[in-house]
Amino acid sequence: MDDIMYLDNCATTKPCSEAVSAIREALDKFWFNPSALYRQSAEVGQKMKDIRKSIAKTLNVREDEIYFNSGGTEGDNQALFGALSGSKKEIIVSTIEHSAVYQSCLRAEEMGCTVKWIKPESDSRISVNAVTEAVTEKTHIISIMHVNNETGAVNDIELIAKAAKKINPKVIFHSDGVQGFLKLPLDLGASQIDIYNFSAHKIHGPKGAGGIYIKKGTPVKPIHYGGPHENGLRAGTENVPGIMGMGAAVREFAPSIITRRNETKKIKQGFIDCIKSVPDVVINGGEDEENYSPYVLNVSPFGVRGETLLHMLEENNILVATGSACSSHKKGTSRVLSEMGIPDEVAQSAIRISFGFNQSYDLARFADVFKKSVMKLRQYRRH
Amino acid sequence: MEQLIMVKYGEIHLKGLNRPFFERMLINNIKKSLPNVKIEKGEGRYYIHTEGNLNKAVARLKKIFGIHAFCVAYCLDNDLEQISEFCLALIKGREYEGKSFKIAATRSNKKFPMKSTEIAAAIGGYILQNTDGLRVDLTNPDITITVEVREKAYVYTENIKGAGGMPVGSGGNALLLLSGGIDSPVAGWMMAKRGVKLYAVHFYSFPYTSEHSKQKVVMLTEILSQYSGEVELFVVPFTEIQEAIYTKCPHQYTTIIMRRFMMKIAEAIARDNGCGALITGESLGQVASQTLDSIIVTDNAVNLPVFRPLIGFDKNDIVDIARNIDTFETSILPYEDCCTVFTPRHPATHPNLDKIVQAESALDGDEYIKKAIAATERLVIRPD
Repeated sequence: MDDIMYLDNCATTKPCSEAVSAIREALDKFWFNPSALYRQSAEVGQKMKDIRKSIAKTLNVREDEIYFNSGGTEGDNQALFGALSGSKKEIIVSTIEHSAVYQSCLRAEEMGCTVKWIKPESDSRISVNAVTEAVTEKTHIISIMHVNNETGAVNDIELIAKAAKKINPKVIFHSDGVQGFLKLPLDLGASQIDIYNFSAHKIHGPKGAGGIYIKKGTPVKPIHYGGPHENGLRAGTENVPGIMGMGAAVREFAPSIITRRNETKKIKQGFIDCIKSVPDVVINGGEDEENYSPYVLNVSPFGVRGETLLHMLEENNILVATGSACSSHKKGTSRVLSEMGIPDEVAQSAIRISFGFNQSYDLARFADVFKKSVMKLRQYRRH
Repeated sequence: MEQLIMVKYGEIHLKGLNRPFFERMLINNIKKSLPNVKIEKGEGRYYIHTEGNLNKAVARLKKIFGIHAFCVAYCLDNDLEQISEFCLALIKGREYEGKSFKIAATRSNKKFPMKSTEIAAAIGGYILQNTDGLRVDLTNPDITITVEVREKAYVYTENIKGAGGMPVGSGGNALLLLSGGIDSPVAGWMMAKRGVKLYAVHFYSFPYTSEHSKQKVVMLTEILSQYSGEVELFVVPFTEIQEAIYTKCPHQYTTIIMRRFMMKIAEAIARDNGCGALITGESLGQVASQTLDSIIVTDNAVNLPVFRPLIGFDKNDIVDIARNIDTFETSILPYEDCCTVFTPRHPATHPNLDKIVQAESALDGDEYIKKAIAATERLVIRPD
């Protein structure tokens, strides 16, 4: 059997060896509580400070604007519920957000907030105009994701934030950066984005660790209470091994965002070419390099169920996704694809291929298995 | 003072000369389910000494078929004073003011010098003398204390309902066709309740269904095994047969032909493993393959008897049982249990046997069946 070809890096990534070593070292040597008063703890604290600093540098923000947490879902909840702080305010949010934002906004709606839902264009991107038309002086928070986790569509969050603030300078602008962090260049310091959150396990770090940037002065309260950790924002002893693993991944991959992006573009193009050589396959979203992440490719081969194709590829040790992993256990079609106006039958055929950092793939093997699988499954259409 | 479990067995009483056979089977099943307890046999009762694991034993006994009821009893010497004192302490241990009570006494130990009514009156009187605000009500009491004077005296306040039915194994062996949906686990449970030892077969269509759906079937089998004891689960690779049926047979007949293949494979596995019947979760008219005409065609594929305990049940009734036996939540996990690709949009609801047999002959059925059976995976699933 061939080696595993892992093409589900939007769901999670394999921790890099540097992250694994750092976690092992943390468990072995740096297991002291960073809040304690002895020298060993101070040493752990210093390690965390260094990691905070390197993340801040990558995003061009201040070190004290970065808070560690458990990952993407917590970051999204922190941004929304921390900014709302129990009050019934107005939220503007896109309908193609990750469940962590989408479900949080449904909950906020139940709690009495007014939620204005912004639909994507047919290319799955959120237009600046659609957001600015919705902004009023009552708008409290806007949440628009950086990179969509199913189609890879990149939203121009810097431009959207700027345009929204022109109408209402007090509005808080949040962006879920889980699929953008360390994948696309972003100068948060120069932008008007107030909150941006990320996750370690999408960048070859460990699960259970992540972080959130909150611009100094942005009114965000804790969402759970306890000790004064993370400058009073997030109570609970820090996940030191997770943070150290994330730190190692950031050190490893932060310097190469641009070169890696360019390399990954070529890889994606190779996959697009081979997929297009099979008749009747469409790319969901688009393929232009500016507006789509090179790390994500969503395709629908007509007449084939995505889930069945996934398992057929799995049989050949090629691992892909259908919808996003967080929602793929529910029956039905992807919310993101249906919001884009893609017909159900096409959406049910969709598979998502997503690439890791500095990986090489046996494209010929993929092309062969993909083509054979699609052609075989097309023999068995439902009549 | 020792607390033990007193088991009352049900229908076994009716079994005349065969009674020892059923009793042996029940006691073996209890021993398998509770390997670390001591079981003593009394007249019409088993006494289970659990040595501390009382709650676990109670939970397990509730799932053993053949047990009508049981209770957690205190075991005392046959000494009226001691028994009265103990019953008083039981009353005082709960909120009793303003409530009514009853002492229900039985005496199978005829050496004991008082009749059961006298025992009840004496203990009741003693309790009344030593409490305030408590009254006797023999028809609808708030608190009932039962005193059974046997080899020893057994005192308890609560009768726990058992699973009923007959001891598993006393009704022979049968093979359950287990799909992963709501109905088939319920059908299996119902037959196990009538004493059938279960074997199970699942048809697996990777890549049209996933590893998750297979795990789901394993989970369901594990839940069933809590009632029926160890279950052998046969996982039959079915993809090739489905693809062949799709390719070679008229589409409106694919479902019914597929069902016939499943039955034939199940029958072969059943015979190899000493099973005398097949069990399915079919309910008349629920889907196209469960109409009377379809069932006639399916039945014709095999010679073994096919038990369909749900045949007259509404879906709601089946769901109620599934919830009670804890299979429902697992059954509704969304992994596809049967591939919809191969389900025709308009399946025949009134198939004609001759036409189906004719359509089926386009395939070398025996060869496919032989191949599938040879590649069948056998799993032994034991309760936790």
